[in-house]
Amino acid sequence: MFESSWAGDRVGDHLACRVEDSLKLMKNPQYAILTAIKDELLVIALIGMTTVLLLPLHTHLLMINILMVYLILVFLVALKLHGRASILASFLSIAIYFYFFVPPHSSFEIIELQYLLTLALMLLIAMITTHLASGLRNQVVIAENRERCIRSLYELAEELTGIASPNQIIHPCRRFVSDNFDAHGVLIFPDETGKLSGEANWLNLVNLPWAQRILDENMGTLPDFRTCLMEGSLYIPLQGSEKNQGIMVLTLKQTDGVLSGEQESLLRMSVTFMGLVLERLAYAARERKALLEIDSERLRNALLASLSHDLRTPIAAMAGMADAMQWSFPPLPQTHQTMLGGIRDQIHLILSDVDKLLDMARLHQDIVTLHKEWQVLEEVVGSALKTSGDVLRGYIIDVTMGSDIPLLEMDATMVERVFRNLLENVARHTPVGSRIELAAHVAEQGVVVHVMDNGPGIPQGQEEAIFSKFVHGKTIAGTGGVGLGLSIVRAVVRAHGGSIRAENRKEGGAKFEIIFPLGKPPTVICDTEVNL
Amino acid sequence: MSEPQQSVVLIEDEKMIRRYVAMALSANGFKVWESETAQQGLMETASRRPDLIILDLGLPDRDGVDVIRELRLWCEIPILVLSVCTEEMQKVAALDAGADDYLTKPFGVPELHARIRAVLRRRARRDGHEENEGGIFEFGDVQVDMVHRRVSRGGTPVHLTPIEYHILTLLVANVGLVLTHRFILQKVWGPDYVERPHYLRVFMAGLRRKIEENSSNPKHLMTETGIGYRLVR
Repeated sequence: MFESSWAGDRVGDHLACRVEDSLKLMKNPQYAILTAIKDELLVIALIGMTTVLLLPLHTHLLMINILMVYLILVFLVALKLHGRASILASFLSIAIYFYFFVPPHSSFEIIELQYLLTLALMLLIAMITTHLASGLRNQVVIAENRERCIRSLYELAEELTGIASPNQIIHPCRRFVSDNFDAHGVLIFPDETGKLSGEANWLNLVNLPWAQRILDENMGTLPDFRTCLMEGSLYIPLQGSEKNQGIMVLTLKQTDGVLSGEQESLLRMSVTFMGLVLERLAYAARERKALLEIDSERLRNALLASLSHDLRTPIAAMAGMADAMQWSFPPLPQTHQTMLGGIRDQIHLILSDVDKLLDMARLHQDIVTLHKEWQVLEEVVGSALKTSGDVLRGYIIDVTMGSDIPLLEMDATMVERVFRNLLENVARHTPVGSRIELAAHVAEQGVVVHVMDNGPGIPQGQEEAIFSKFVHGKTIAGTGGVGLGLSIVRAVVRAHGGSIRAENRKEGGAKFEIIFPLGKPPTVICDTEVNL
Repeated sequence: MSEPQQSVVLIEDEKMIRRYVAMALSANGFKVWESETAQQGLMETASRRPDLIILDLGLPDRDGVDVIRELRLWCEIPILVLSVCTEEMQKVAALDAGADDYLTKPFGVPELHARIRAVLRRRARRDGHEENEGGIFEFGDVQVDMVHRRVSRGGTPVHLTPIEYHILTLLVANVGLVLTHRFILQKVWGPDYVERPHYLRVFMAGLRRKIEENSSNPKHLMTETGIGYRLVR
């Protein structure tokens, strides 16, 4: 996996800057007050200027028109400035209107009851306007915020869909966080075993056990962010559909981990998306790896297959021609026939050794793909006896195989080779006429198969060594072989989850014990005998 | 020989193997046309109309299984496949594509002749040239009476289940030739069972126990590991 970290970039973040500015100003109390009442000052200035402009004109204008100018002013203020300023504007403009423009001028005295009604109506209109305008302004602000969120989510999505490696997620995420939250962010990814780890210097900023807990415990749905808070940072899981792909640690600088509703929903959407992107990358990486493995396996298999073809073809031609000579007409003299028989036998020995070398090469490279099917053990043993026919000529073979032996899941070709190699091995180390016993029974640990002979047995202390590569025992006929037979046997048995060991029998001779694990064989529906 | 001479198209790229197979075939009275490549072999087959095609699966110009498929599009001439490869999948693919049987190199001359005989006999029977032996088929001490659906061994009746009997008759009808698992499963159980070779194995084990003298070391119902079964007389 990959590990990386990133920190929210503060430079260029306009939200952060605004807060930074106000923080600086906060240190000077005069500026602070000025900033706080800046809108109110603006209102007073505006109304003052309007009044100054209107005063010389009021003899020419109807009172109602002057009133309209003030109402428009209130409306504009309500539209552009915050609530407190617009309320101030309402009261201030009404007061000024009555003071300067309602007779008697330059006095709050009201001489006619009608004017009192005007005052009340004007106040009402101003308040309603203020309310509507500020509502409108809020809507605009919300819509703008929402649009900004959607745009940044869209940009994030656009950037993340194109990426090919997990490291490329870091930069877009950093920009996204700094654009939308005033925060430091760190991404931590788990390794293959699912543990979060890392050595980078950012790790001391992070509470790793807590992050691990969040990673392990929150599957399926995103948790309430308040439960993810630890030491002022939010630990948010990046969820995939199968497992969590990582943790984002979000350290908000201002608000101690408390997010606004909008920020929270934006964060939810973005972490869900990041999780999915990471999952897609993980899948893609896995697929690439699998493809690579398939490719290299195919290559090695092709290499071994062509090697096998190239070695076997001339040997096969030699064997064939020796055979053809033996059957040629007119028949060859007896001595030549015997020699041809010898040539043929030697060719078959070479072939069997070539096969063993290739088998071992395959097994050694771990590229044997077992074609496992549910097999009848008796059948596999039977075909091993058939294929090693020539080697076993002259031996007494005794097979005891109960019909209660369950189906075993195995690669028949490979297991046949196990028995063939074992039988060949016995034939090599015992004199012709020896007795070879094959017996199988079901035990608790699996199906136990014994291959026993009454020959000279295994040399003392060699019971394990005979399974090593290129180890020869003392052979009877001097027919050496490459010494791979038994190591292939062990490799194949182990590939089937079984075990093999050798020992000497009390009554003399060697005994090989193979244990094949019992599986859960499928049921076979049998029909019943009828008198045909 | 009173019969007309039988002919073979031999498609094999290895010169030495081609030479010895041709030698063995001519010694047995076959007329042999040799081809080095699949393309040449296809042309020979089209022009000579032989009684048998012997095809090597590892040809340089084309995949052997492909060649079989193409041949089967326009001719029913028996095909015997030669393979140097120990990979069973390729042989099964060749058999499923329509080859009649296979031989793995190195093979002996007697083996070659036995295989050719079996292939040609099945063809003759299919064409109705060979008489069936009064509906009674014998191998070893086993008698299969196809007319009365009776099986006996050494004179004693053997009781088979309908499925066992069905498998046995399939093997009898193709005596000497290999039948793939897929083929038998499809014929006996139907297409739904072709992916369940363990059914066949269980029934074959039962059949062997009833018919073979020693079911662990059969003499007639032979296993071709990874491929299928063959009845040997």
